[in-house]
Amino acid sequence: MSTRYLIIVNREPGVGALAREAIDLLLVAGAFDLDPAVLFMGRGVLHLTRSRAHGDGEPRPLDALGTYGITRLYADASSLRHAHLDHAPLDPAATVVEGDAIGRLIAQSDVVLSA
Amino acid sequence: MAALHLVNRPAADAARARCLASLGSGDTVLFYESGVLGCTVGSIDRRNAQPNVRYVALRADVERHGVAGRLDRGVAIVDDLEFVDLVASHKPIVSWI
Repeated sequence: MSTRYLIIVNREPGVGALAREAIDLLLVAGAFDLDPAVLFMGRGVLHLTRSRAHGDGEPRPLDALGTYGITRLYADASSLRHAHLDHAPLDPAATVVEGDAIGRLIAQSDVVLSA
Repeated sequence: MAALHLVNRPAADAARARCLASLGSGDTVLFYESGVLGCTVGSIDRRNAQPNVRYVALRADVERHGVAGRLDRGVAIVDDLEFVDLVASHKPIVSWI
């Protein structure tokens, strides 16, 4: 069985290098057909909205996920609530997970990178 | 195989909170460096904890921070060799930063 990768994005876009590096890592993993999953937590859920660091219509690295075959996107429900995004449409779309589901997501992964 | 979660941030840090909210049954949380300050009496909220979660703290950092007598009930102390054993017996390893 191939190695299963999970990248946890904790940092909001546009603040520091770690957030951008996590997204770059995600895209590189996709480019090598590693089929990575990504979980947005904490301030990282702000990647799933265009209203903060990016203007409408401005391209973002995350817009390339489909091109790289990355389809397993998850967002932490409590982080979305904390950021007042729990009722907002997520862009790109992500499956909302919480509590036990996050633990299972981690347990199903061989390599987890948190940034 | 259960996950090993590594926490080196003190109690008020968001990364630590994200870790404790993301545990699965059978997981182990290892506190080290300043993370040991977050496993003193009453500082671990187990209300929504998964069953069979094990909490451990690295001996050298517990002694360095002077919290040996103040650890939360249920937090075990491990030395460096036990740390290595934990890494070898868990998968994945999640370093919360």
